[in-house]
Amino acid sequence: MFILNPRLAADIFDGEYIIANLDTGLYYSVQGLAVSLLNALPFEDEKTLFRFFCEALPQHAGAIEHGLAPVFQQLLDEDIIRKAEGTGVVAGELPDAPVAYEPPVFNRYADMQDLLLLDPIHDVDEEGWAVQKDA
Amino acid sequence: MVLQLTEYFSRLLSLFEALPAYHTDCLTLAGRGVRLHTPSDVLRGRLLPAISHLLVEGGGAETALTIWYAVDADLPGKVAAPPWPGFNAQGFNTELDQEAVQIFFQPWQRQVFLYSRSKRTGIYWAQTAADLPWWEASFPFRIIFHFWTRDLPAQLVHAGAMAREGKGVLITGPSGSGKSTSCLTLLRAGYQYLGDDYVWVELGGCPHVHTLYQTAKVAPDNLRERFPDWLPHVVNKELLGQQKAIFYIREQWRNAFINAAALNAVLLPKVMPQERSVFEQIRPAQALLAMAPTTLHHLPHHREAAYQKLMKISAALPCFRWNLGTNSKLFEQSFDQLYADELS
Repeated sequence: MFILNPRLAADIFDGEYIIANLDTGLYYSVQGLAVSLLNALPFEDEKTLFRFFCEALPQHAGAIEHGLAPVFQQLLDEDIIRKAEGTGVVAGELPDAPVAYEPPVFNRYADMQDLLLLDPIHDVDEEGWAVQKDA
Repeated sequence: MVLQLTEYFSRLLSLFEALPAYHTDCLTLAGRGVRLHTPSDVLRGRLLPAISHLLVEGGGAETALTIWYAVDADLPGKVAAPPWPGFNAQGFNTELDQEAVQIFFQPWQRQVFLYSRSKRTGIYWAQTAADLPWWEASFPFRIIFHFWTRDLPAQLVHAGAMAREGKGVLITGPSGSGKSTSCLTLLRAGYQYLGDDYVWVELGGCPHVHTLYQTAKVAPDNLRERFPDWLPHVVNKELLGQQKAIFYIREQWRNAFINAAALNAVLLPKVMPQERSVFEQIRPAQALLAMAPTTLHHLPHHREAAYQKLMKISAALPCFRWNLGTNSKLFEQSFDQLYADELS
């Protein structure tokens, strides 16, 4: 079973999914057919879903097969979609069939992440306050 | 037994409440009354100038927020460091329950910000006046104001705000995107100024922007290159090698400084290698992706609620990328053109 990571803020915004990992400072934008993929969550099996999209847009079947699988993999790699077993979550109905093909797009915005992960370590005095080390 | 955050707050508050005497200053911020209490002349002198435009005589609106602030020497007891491990560089601690009381503490700083939601009371404490970071005086109590907005239809935004004839725009983006320089260039050209770093956006009804701080900060290089005639107005001249140049805008440009404006657009400046400055409409999602990371990086508490408010701002307003060219005359013309074409 594939589900949306419940720790993320994910909202459709003007036809585009904007996903924010507010803990890590990573932001993502998902567009085109990949929006339909996220809308289909939770689902059991991605191949069934890809087939459903191909049948809905047979003239674009090749593009869907080649374009959607890598985006799905990126969504898994970034832990936006995660595989969850035994959670009691039941797969939803298949979504409405897409009526037009828009290439799936996945963008990752990591500008703030380096800053967010800074976490210096310090010595402390007897009252617990950090002690500035001499340069 | 592990000390609870609520208890830590109560201990600090009791130190303030035991004070025999203190100053009280009253502010009105977006129509709400704020009381600032302190026994510290030094902190008062350093923190109040940035918000002096919000001061009101004789009490003003009903108190919606109380802030106590002091250094150790002013208080009847010493303040111990927050005893919990796990504070990150943003001053946030994911392990602490911060529903009732919120805390901002960066372990290498000797200062703490606290806020009790039920008491609507904030505390700012620094061990000594020397422990007050210089930038803190340019946006005093920012974190406490952010804590307070959790329960208000309002949001602090990392953005400048300018207006023409009372019609305001937010100018947002990460540090270095041209936000401050754009605002200050427009100020010099005669436009109305509400802020160039952090502003308060009110979301009940049509969005409005309110000025928060009258301080502008300019990097020394930028000052020399673009605003050399402003050097006499720099308030921290003696520290220019170590700090950005600070200006009190209301004191120097009183007629251009306004406290509130209706919001009409979100602008994302981007420095471009071209002469002309040009606006192009962008999707609300692009504005959100510019505004949210930079704002929430500095404001790590209740990020989910703040993010929802930033979404609301992005969705409610037309959004434009502002490709900034090198010609300053054409830069001003582009701003006028935006008002004529899109915001009239």
